[in-house]
Amino acid sequence: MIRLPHSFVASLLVLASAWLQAGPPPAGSGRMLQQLESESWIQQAEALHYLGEHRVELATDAVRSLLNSNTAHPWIRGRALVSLSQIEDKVDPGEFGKWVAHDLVPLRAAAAEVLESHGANSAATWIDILLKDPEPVVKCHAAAAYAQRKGKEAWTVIDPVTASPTPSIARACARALAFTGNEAALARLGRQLADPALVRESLRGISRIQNAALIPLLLDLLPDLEETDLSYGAILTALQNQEWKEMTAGLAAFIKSGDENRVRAGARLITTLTRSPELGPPLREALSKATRTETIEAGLIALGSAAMNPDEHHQFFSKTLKHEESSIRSLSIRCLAHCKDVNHYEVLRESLVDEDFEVIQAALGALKRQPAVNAPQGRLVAYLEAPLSSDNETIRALAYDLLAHAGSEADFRPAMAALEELLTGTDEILRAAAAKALGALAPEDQIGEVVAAQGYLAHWMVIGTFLNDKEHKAFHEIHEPEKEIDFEKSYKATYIWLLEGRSDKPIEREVTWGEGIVDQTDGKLSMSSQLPPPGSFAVGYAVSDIHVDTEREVVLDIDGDDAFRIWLNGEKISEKIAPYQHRKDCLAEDKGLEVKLVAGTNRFIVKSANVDYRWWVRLRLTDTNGIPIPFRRP
Amino acid sequence: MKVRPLRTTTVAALTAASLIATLLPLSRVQAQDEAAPTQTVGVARLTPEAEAAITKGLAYLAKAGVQNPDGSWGGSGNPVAETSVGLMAFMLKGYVPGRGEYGRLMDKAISYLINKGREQRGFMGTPNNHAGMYEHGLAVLALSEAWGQSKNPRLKTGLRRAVDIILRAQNAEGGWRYNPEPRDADLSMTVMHVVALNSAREAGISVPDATIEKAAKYVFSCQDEDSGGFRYQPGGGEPGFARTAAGVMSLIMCGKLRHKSTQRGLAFLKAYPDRKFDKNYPRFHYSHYYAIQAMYQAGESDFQSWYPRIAATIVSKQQQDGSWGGAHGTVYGTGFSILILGVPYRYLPIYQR
Repeated sequence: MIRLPHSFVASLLVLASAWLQAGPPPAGSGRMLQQLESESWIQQAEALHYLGEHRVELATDAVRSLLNSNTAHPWIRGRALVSLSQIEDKVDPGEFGKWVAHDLVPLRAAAAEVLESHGANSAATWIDILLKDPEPVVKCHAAAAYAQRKGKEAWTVIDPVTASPTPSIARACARALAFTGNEAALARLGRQLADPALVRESLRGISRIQNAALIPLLLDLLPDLEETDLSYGAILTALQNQEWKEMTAGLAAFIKSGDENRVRAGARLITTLTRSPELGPPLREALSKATRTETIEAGLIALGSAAMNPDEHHQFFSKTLKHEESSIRSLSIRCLAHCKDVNHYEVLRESLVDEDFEVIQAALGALKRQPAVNAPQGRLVAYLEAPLSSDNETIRALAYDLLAHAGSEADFRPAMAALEELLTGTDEILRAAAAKALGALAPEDQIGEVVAAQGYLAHWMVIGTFLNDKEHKAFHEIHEPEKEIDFEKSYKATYIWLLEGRSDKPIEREVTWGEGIVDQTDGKLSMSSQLPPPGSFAVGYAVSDIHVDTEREVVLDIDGDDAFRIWLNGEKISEKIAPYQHRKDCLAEDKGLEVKLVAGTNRFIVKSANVDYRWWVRLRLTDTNGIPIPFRRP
Repeated sequence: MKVRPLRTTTVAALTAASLIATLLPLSRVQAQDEAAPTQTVGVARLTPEAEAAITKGLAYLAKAGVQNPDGSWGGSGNPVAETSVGLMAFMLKGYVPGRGEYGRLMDKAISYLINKGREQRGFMGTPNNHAGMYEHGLAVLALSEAWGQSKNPRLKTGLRRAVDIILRAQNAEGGWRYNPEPRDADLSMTVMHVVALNSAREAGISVPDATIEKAAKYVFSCQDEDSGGFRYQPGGGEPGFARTAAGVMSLIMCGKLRHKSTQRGLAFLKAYPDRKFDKNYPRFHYSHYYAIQAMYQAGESDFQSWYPRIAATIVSKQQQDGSWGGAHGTVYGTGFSILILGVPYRYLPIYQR
C-alpha cells in the first residue's frame, strides 16, 4: 500500500472541497500547496508565485499563515504578501497599513510592490509614505507604484529615485522608468539595460509591461547577444508580451535601419518569434544590400519559412542561388523548395552541376519534394545526366531515387540506356539502386528487361500447387509435371486451406501451366503470387528456357524460400532445403555454382516448396567475374 | 421492351427515359426480356425459382407493417442501412420510385434518407452508432443508384452534401472508419465508401480522381502478400473471405479489374473452401453481396460457376413469408438476399459491367 503524507492528503481534501464550490483549480495547485510547506525557501517562493499567478483561492489561508509567521524568512513573507494580494485581488485597508509600516525591509518593499496594482483610495497615502522610506529598495518599488499611476507626470519623483541603480533595485527602477515612459525615463532605462550588471534584473522588471516605447529599447539589445545568452530569452519574452502590430512595426523599422547586425538580429527574431509575412519585403530589401554570409543565412532562414509566403521572395532566392558561398546556395535551394509557383526543374538546373556536392544534394532533395508531373517527361535522364554519372555515390543514389520518383514510362528507354552499365556491373548496391529506379519507370511488360539485364532468369512457365507438409514430404515425391514437361497438359492436384478456420481436408482442383512473370527488379520469381492460393504447404514447378550462342562455363547463383531443386538440361545441379521457421523467412541458397551451358537452348527446371510465409526462387547467371552473361529467350 | 436504368445527366436522355416510362403500364415498370441484352450476363440465367423468390421477398418488404410510417425499414438498430438495402432491392428489379406498385413506398424510403441528411447536416447514419458511417455509405449508394429515377428535388443536394462528408472523412492512408472524420481506417469501411463514391460519381457528383486512387492504395495495402487475400487493416489480422470479397469489389470499382492484386484476390475467393456457400457461413450476406458482384465483374466464366451455387443456397434459405433472416434482422437479410440473387437483372447501375 502506498502511504501518502498527511499534508498531501489534507491538500487533496482542501482541493476537493474547493472544487465543489467553485470549479476545478489549476492542475498544479495541489502540488504547490504541498510545496508551500517545504523547508526550502526556493520551493516556497515558487509555490507562492504559482498560487498568486493562478489566484488559487483555496491557498488563501496557507499563504496568510506564512505571511504572519514570525519564523519564516522575511523575504518569503514579503512574497506571501504579494501572492495574497494577487489571490484576493485586493488588499485589506485595515490590515495593510501594518505592512507599510513594518520593521522588516522586505515586507515594506513587498507592500510597495503590491501597491502597483492594489490599494484603492488608500494607495496614494501609502505610496507617499513608502517614497520617503530610507531603504532604496522600498523607495524604488514605491516609485514604480507611483509611476504606474501617474505615467509621464511621475518623472520629477522618479528621477532622483532611479538615478543610481544597483543590482538590488534594478528591477524596481526599470519598472518605474518603463511606467513613466517619457523620453528621459526611456533614455535612462536604455542605459540601465546596456549595463551588464543590471540588464538581467531590469529585463525581469519590464518583461510583462506592455508599452510600444519599450520595443526599440529591447530590439537594440539583440544585435550584441548570442541566442544562448540568458538575456536573449528574457528579451524575447518581453517582446512576446508586446502588442502584435506594434511589435511588427517596431521590427520593420529595426530591420530597415540597414545595419547588418540589426538585419541579422531581426531575421532571427522573425524566425523564432513573429513570422509575420508583412516583414518579408523589408527584410528582403535589407538583405539585398547585405554582404556578410551570416546575415544572408539568417535572412534566408526567415524568408524561406512556409508562413512567410516564400513565393513572394523566389526571385531573391534565385539570386542567392548564385552566391559564392556554397552554404548560401544550399540554403537558397531549401527556400525555393517551399515555393509553390516556381518551376523547380528549370530553376535548379544549374545547381545539379554545382562544384559542391552538398548543393547538388540539396537540389536533388528539393526536386524530390516537387510533384512528379512537373518533371521534364521523357527528358528526365538527360536532365539528370550530371548527378547520374557523378563520382559521388550519395549523389548517384539520390539521382536514381529522383528518377524513380519523378520519371515516367517515357523516361524508361533513356534511363535503361544510361544505367544499363550499372545493371551489368559488379557493385551490388549500385545495381540494386539502379534496378529499383528503372523498375519504377518500366512499363509492366518491360520489367523483365531490367531483370534479365542483371543476369536473372526473368521468363518462366509455372505450375502448381501440389500438396506439401511441414517435412517437405511432397518435395521428395515426383509429381506429374516432373515426369514430362508438357505445357499443354493439366493435372489433378490438392491443397489444404488453413486460413480463417482450418480445413485440413485436401481440396481437389485442376492445375495448368501458366506464364510466370518476375515482376520485381530484384529478380525473385514469387511462386505464391504466380500460382493459385494458398501458397502454404505447397510444391510448384518453374521452367525457364534460355538461348546462348556458344557453349560456355557460367556461374549460377540460386536462392529461394523455403526449398529448391534445380535441373539444367535434365541433370540435377542443386538442391537446398532451409530449416523451417514458423511465419519467418526460410532462406536457402547455393551461390557460385559452376555449370556448363550448351550452344542453343538450355532448360532450367525448378522444383520449389513452401510451408508458409514467403515463397520465391531466384536464379542469376554471370561469368566468373560476376558480369551477367548475354542470353536470350529461344 | 426493356427499361434501362435512367442514369444520365442530359436533358434529352431524361426526357426520353420519361417518355419510355409513361408508355409502359403504370402498374408495373420492370424488366421484360424482349430486347437484345447489351451485356452477356442476362435475365436468361435467372431461374424461375430465383425470380419467384425475389418477387416474394419484395412482397414481404412491401407488406403492411414491415415498412415504417416514416418510410424507413427495420427496427431501432440501423434503420438507415436497412432502408437503403430495402430501397435498392426494389430498384434491382427495375421498379422505379414514384411509379407503379411499389413507387410510393420507394419514394417514402428516399424521402426518409434525404430527411436524415437534412436533419444531420448531411450525415445520414444513425448518430453515436458504431455502424453509423456504414449506414451513411449505404445511404449514399442507395441514393446514387436512385438518382435519375427519383423525382425528389432534394435528392441531388442531399447526395452532394453526403458525398462531401465522405470526401472529408478520408484519412491520410486513404481509408475510412467509424467516424466521419479523417482519423483511422479499416478495409470494411473503406470498401463501403469506395463503392458509394463510385456510384455517386456515376450519378454525376464530383469525386476527385485522387480520392479514388488514394482509396485504392489503401485497399492494396491490406492485401496479404503470401495468399493474395485481404486483411482488415494493413499488416493486421488474417486474410479472410468477407474481407477479400470486399477488397476485390472495391478495386474493381476503382477500375483495377486487371490489376495483379485484384486477380490474386479473385483467385483467393475461388480457392476458398466450399463452406463459403453454406447457409450458416459467418457474415453470409455481407460476404456474398460483394463476392457475387466481384464475380460478375470478373467475367462470364467466373460468374457462371459461382452464381448458381449461391443462388441455390439463398433460395433454400427463404422463409415461408418471403423474408430471409439475417445477422441484423429480417429486412437486412431479405434486402441483401434479393441484392445477391438478383444480380443478373442489371437494373442497378452498379450491377452493370
